[in-house]
Amino acid sequence: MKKSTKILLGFLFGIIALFWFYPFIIVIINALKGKRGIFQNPLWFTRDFTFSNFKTAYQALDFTSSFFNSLVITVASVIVITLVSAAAAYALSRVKGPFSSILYYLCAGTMLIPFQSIMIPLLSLFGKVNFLNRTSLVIMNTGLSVSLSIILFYGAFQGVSKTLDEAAALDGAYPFKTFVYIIFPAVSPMTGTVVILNAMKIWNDYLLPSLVVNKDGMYTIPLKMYSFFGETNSQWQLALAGLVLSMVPIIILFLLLQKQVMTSVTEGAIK
Amino acid sequence: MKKRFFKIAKLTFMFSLSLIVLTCCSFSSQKEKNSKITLNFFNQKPEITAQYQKLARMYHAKHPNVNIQITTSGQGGGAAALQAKFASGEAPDIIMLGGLPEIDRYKDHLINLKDLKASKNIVPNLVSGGISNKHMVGIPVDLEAYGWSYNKAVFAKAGIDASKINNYSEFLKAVEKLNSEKKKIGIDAVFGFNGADTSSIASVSAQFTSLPYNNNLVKAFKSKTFPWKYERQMKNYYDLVKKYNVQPILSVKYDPSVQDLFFNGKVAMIPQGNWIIPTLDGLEKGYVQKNLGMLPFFVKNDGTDRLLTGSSWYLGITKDHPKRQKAAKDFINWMYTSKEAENVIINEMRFVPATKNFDVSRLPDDLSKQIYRIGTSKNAQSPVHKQYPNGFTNQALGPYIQRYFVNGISWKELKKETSAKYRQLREIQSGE
Amino acid sequence: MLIKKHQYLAFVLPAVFFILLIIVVPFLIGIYYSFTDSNGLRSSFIGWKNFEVLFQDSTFLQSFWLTVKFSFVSVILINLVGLAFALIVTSHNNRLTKSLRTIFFMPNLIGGILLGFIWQFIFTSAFQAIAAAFHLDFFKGWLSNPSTGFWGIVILFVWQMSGYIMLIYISFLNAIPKNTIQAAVLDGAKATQIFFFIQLPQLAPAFTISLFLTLANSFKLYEQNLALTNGGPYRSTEMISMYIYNTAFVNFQQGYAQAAGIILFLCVTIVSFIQLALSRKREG
Repeated sequence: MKKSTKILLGFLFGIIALFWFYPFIIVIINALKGKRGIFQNPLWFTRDFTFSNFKTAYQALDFTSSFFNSLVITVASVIVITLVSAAAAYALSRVKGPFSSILYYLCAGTMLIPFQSIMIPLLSLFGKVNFLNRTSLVIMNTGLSVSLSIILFYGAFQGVSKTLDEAAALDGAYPFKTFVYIIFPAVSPMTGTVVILNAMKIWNDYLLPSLVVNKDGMYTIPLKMYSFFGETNSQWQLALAGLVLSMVPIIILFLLLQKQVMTSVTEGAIK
Repeated sequence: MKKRFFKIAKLTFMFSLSLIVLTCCSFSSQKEKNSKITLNFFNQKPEITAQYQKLARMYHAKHPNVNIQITTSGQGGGAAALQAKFASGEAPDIIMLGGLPEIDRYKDHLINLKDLKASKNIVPNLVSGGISNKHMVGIPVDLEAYGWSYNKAVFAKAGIDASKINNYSEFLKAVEKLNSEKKKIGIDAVFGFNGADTSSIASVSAQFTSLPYNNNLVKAFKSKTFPWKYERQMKNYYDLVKKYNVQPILSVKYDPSVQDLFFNGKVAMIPQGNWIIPTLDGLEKGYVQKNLGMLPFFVKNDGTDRLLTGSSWYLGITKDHPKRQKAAKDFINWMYTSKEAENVIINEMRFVPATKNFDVSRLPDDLSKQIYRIGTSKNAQSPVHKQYPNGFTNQALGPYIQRYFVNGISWKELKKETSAKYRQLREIQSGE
Repeated sequence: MLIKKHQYLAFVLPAVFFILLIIVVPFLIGIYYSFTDSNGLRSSFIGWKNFEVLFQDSTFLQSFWLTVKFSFVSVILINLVGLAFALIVTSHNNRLTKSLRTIFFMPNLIGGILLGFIWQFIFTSAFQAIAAAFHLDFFKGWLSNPSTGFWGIVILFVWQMSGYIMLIYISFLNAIPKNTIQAAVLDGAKATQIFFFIQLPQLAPAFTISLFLTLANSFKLYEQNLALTNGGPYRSTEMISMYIYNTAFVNFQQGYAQAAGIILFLCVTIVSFIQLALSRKREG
């Protein structure tokens, strides 16, 4: 390829990327303005540059507490999901039998069921016994994510040779010990995938928490963002500052773990 | 590598475990002390939260062992939020409920308020809006008037005397005059109907659906059919709005409609009632007394048409926490009978009280006085839009009228679809 | 056998418990619900009535049709854009293409609610400014018109999903042996020829995967819909998930909404089986 075409192509790609990235830019620009500036020209900076929106939005979003709630729910759900599904997948990959295959198909089958088709009975079930908010959110997240995670882990365990198990058994290790100390660590790349996939999903989820969380202090970031948006009454500078605050943590985390995130997402889709 | 991963995993696990333990502890330590009582008050009118908080503080000053915690949920999210509170076993002690369909959902939780000191004084017309199974479970929050709010200054500029408008043809003439002199009097359009808000569409529709029920709100609530008796008048008014409104009509929202279009005299009329008073006077002191007047819809068109007067909201007390019931009753009695509470209610919330034998001269503006007189007169007429089935306003009536506004549906189709949806929702919600 | 029966149960039972409790039991109850007139408090059995009414309910049919239309349009656009991005990003291996990959993928990190608000701002304020500056009526009132509102959701969804689908195409493009392409280049093949005769056939499985993924996601779309248009104007952009939500939690017609949920389930299942059959056929 000629050098000039190469430069031209690079230039073209750059333009496309800029265009793709512009929505983020526009949000940041307008979060740094007053109400007037947004009205004058929302496309670029205006004179009324200010950081004060962030302070207001931070307080109104109750950001410390919403962030903490999101974090607790995500971390707890991901841990439970990972442990439960890894254990089950291990047993499925090592013991072949009718029960294992039924379970495998159960996982594959339940993946087909859209959340919207079960949310009404699920909610009335938990509502009746009066079991809502954080703990039940963790339990529901687990139930909703276990199937896919088992299938992902199953593939990974299949790739771990059974001779490892046998060797451990000869040394006198119980299956539980073998699993925890030998087999589970051997699939840590897949563990990373499962953790990242579920964490992204749960961190961003809105519909389920909106149905389950009903105590003021327990709102997650998307929940709080939604109600905050209703309260700001077309005060876009505040809403946008809130958006930036909510996006920053996840983007920073992504930039740190970029490669891992991208492989995880690909694997989760292809498997 | 593997070892490190495990170390991290262990650390995360311990960390989150301790988090969970910590949060559990912090919740169990928040136990109620016996001597002190905290009442939970669920409010669905966000615009007066601050005033309710003031009342709560005043009451607390007099009764130091009673705290009142106010939770506000509005902008359409109230019904769902309330449902969630009950579902989670955190039923509030005092709840604000909108209309009989909502009261009906929670009727098993509500106590009979008949013997309450506060209920003795309620304006008789409004009582039926709080009745469930022949028990009085809700008392009206205030007296609201429904009609056209008009800007007196704009009318004056156009040389229109509102007191001379007594039937539909005179109203039509005034509208046409305003429209033809738009430039001269500096308005953008005659009407500033906020077509984006289904709740305002519903309250306007009440002008045409309320008469057949003659103040019997329980009957309205039980009705399986949408009343089309005044269909012709309804269509006339909607067509008028369609023709002379600020465009695009579906982009006009409540806040701009009141605070910009109406307040700044850019339109002559908006279909709102006295709930806009605190907002307008908040923008400019004395604005209401100087500029705000109200006109009825001319539906019967026989000279007896008045503003509709009723209460959108009712207060109830739940039986979920028996220990706190008495305190809740005392607080409501205090709100409805003590002078100090009344002063906050009429001067700061700018409510017209829903109680009989009230001294009108205490009300701070003429419009409020006029509303009190109409609302307590023999001919008073309550609006029924709060008795429509749950979801009917947002999911059927509102969208269909909006479609009609932009010519997306014919009147005939609108009628057919609206009737069908009304019946369907009512049947499902009444469990028949 | 290395694992004894009781040990096996200890490994699998927690997972079984969660799946049964959260998915299977509610699903079965849900099937029953769809034959009742439940309003969340009381319910009685009414047979097939919900389904009969559903198929005459113009709002339901409209939102169903809208969802189908939306899925069709967005599946095509997302795959086209995703594939184009994958080709751009794999065309060279330098710092530019690496950062492009990051940029293209980034919208996928953000949750639907936040995405909806971002684009609400763009479609209302930014578009309004463009319309005013260049006197272009095209950019006016995008979210207050049914058809532009629809395209608004499509644009948002393409922006969100393309980077994700791009990753799938990249992994398949990278799996094509380098020497095949080099050999073709030596034989004098043009870039377009390489694409159509060497890369495209290898991408067939990627197509099936991406198609299915986008389809499943667009059928279940809710949060973006909620935050961008909330179904407006006059419920014209209300897709099936939102219809179910509103019917169940605003109108309290829970049995009726559940019937719609069952129909959604059937649709997703049929689509998945078609996909499965297609990929089986290719492999076999």
